[in-house]
Amino acid sequence: MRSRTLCGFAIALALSLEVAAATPVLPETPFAPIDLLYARPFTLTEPMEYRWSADRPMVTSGWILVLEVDPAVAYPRQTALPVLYAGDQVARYAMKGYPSGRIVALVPSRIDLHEAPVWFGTPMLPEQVDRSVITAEQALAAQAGIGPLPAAMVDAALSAGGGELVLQSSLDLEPLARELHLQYAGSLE
Amino acid sequence: MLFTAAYGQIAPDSLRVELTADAVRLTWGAGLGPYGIYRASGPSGVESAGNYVGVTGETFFKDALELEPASAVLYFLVADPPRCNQNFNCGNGNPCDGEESCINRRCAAGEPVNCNDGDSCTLDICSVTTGSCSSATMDCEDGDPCTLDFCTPILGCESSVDPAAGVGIAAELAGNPLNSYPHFEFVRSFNEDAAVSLAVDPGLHPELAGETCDVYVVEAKSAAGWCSDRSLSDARGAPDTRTFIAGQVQDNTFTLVPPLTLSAAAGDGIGRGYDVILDCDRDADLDSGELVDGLADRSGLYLVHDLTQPGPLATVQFDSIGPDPDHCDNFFDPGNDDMRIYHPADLQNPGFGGRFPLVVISHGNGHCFDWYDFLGNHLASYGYIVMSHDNDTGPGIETASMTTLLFTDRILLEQDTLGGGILMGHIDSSRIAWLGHSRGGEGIVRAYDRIVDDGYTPQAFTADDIVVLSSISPTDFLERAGADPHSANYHLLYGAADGDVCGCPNSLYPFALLERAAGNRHSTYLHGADHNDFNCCGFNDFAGPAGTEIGRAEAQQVQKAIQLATVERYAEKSLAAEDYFWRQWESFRPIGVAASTVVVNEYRKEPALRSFVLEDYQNEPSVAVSSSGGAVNFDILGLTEAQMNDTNGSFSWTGSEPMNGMTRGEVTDDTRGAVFDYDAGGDAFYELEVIPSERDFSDDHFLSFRFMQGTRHPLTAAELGDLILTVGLEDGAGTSGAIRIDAYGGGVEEPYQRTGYGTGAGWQNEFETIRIRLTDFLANGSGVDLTNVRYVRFYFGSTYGSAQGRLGLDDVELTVE
Repeated sequence: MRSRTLCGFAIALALSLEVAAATPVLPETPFAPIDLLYARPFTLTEPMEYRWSADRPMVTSGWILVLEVDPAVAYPRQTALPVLYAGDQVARYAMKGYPSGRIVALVPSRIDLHEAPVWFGTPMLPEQVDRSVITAEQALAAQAGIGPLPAAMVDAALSAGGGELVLQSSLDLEPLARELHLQYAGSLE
Repeated sequence: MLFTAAYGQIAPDSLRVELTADAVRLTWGAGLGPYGIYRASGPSGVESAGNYVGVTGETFFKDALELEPASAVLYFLVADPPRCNQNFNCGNGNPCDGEESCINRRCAAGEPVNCNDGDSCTLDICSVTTGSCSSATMDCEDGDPCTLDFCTPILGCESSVDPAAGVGIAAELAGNPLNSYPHFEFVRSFNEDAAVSLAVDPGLHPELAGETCDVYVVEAKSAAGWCSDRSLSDARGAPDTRTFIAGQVQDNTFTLVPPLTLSAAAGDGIGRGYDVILDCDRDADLDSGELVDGLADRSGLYLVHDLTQPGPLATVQFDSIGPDPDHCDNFFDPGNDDMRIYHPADLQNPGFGGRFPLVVISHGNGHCFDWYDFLGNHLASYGYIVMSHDNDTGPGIETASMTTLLFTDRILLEQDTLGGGILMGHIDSSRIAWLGHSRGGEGIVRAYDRIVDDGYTPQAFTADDIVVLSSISPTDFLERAGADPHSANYHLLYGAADGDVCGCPNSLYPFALLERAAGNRHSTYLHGADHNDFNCCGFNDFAGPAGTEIGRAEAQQVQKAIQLATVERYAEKSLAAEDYFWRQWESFRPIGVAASTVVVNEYRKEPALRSFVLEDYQNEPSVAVSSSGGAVNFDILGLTEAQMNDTNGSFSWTGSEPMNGMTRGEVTDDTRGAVFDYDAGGDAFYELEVIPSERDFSDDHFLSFRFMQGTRHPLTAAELGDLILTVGLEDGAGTSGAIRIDAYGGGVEEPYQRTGYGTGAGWQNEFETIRIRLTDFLANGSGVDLTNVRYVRFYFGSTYGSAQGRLGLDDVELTVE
């Protein structure tokens, strides 16, 4: 009996090791984040070139967000990743947040978070996303019933974020992003 | 404001003056200026119109100047470029450095004329009077009466010993005994922990039957070296004395160098060269008529040490910005900041004047530039300056490619400031190797493609300076339109258990980049290795069968050895390195790599060295006619020629997808091959007739082809293991010779038994290149006439090897060394 128990334990351990080694599977798109935990508006004195869309706009204002997502979304991988959209904007998120599922994101425009849906769309390279792609992805999200985030969720995130951040350049966003990552994901990673 | 730049030094204002092969290269760092540049022997020459060279700008330019001028030449920068208006022409009278223009009343530099026609046998010159290009045939005559001097378009001037000079006869002597016909393989490289043997085939050298000769192993000499000094001094201390007999090659095979008895030390290179001589008059001199292995400008043999071990040079590393804040923890920073540089510690010695090739490492998505210390320090210890940079891969491959380009420019342009100027003057910008991982692996290919196809002009280097692209588990988002290595030397390193860039059906195909490469190309495919085994710190993504994982440490043993061999081959032209690209891994692999590690090699030479392509399935749709126009005869089953692309999204064998398991091309690619099978019912053959104009194989060196076993096919599964077949040549008189491929140590590897994407086990198809020296078909007096080969034939079945199998075949060709 004892040997069988030990054998069973060994098998369970081996299975769990196999699971741990497997690359986590991405959820089907489109899907909304689980939660919006933080939202803070920012303004830059020096415009930054935004390479995360085909348009490559010069950005002077936007949002810093902290989202809770399926951890698989934040797992570093080379293949195409779900593109994060906020309204009609392509947002960017860093490949940090696994396994906590807490990601720091940047929206390159001061959209109305109460009105604009936030969701993950078809996996592709962000630099290939142009206006036609955004329009198509908006339609898919609408079809999937993805709408604006709940008002209470947005209000709580805005409250957590606080007032507008006025910065010289995009480089000044880095310390805040690190701080947020540590605050929201640090203990989980 | 006046700055001066003495010849060969760098001005304080980032104007670098380098002596290149054909001119003086002036490289200007962006951010300052513009300045007018004047060349004069002293300050009084400044602003004299006749001494005006040009104006600094975004692109570098070459000042056409005689090499090694008799007197010192100085370059002067003048803070104000000449003002221009209707009364002043910016032209400096030199149309070769481009047409200067007047912009906002200041002179601006033009785009230099590029006269390089890509042919190393021509001297390409721009006329400073007309700006037109002209080309003159290179004169390779070196004035040495002992050598035959000639030119090849790829390599330029070469020489070999002139047989008429009476300096011995070139022969293959060194190699390894084999357990079956042809009983001996003549090879170039030997691990130092293995024996080196010598063999003489009495059929090829009847004059040696009954002869007693002193066999010498000497430090290698060049062709000219042998001509000028024919004395023999054995590196082992004393020669062996051997008597050769009539009979077979097996009767005339001897151990030449026992393991670990001769030095493999090669400085900071790999492979110490030795030549082998049969001194049959025993006078300790090389005489005309005596056989020499290593008579031309290559050694008879190379002893190679453990390539997984560090090289002889101590190394230093530093970050351009780090460690605090750690720019690898970027969230929104675009990734254009930090780089980690590894270099030989010799650079810290005052007065050290050495220059080293540059290796650039571009990491993957979510990875970090400081994840490659194991590789950076390894290469630096062999005399490379290595730079691993922050790579902006998040947006995609275009952005990643620009990051590679910008960082390569940066290290060249800022070498006088990086690390306090430690690199200044020590980077050989004409030899740059790009290594990229994951999205960075595709990014380096895109970067090269941008220069070649899209007209992107780097500031401090050209496409010609990129000696090799080495992609580790690369993505292929851009496909043929954007990720094309063109004629660059290309290497692919890839793990079969990759859980990220998996090679799954209808996904990203790393092998497609290899297939597009039109120059020298080779691949190293490791069973049991995953994506992040090739860096220090990524998550474990192993996706193979339990028990087959080789682990990060072992994967990096292979990586260190093979990527070192790759850069050595193309940056240092090491001949010793090449054997690791193609020889059967079971019998020849780097010391320090476990015998149980399975690696599948593919290798194809550049077009200039592929003397005759018998069949590549690219342009003749009929299975009865080869691509070279000869007849094809066969009794194998199900022969199909098609694009090598599995399109049904599954690796299952259904019977309706002949190219099952082929991940060699995307839909837009055109790489084609053949598949077929043979069953246990009897032997089978596949025969290619050689067209009459190409039947003389005597000047060629190797017969090369690549095979793969069809994944999950019942005939593959029925006899899982290396598939063995036999290759034969038949001459015009009907005389034939045949060799079983396992004579050399292995067969065609079975596919890695990974599951998923359908039923059964077996992952994507793995091509393996097999190269057989043509003279092996002559062993023991086969009688085959290599001047009149009519058929190349492949034999299958239990008489010839494995009883049954499913195979793919491609690239049947003759190559030269």
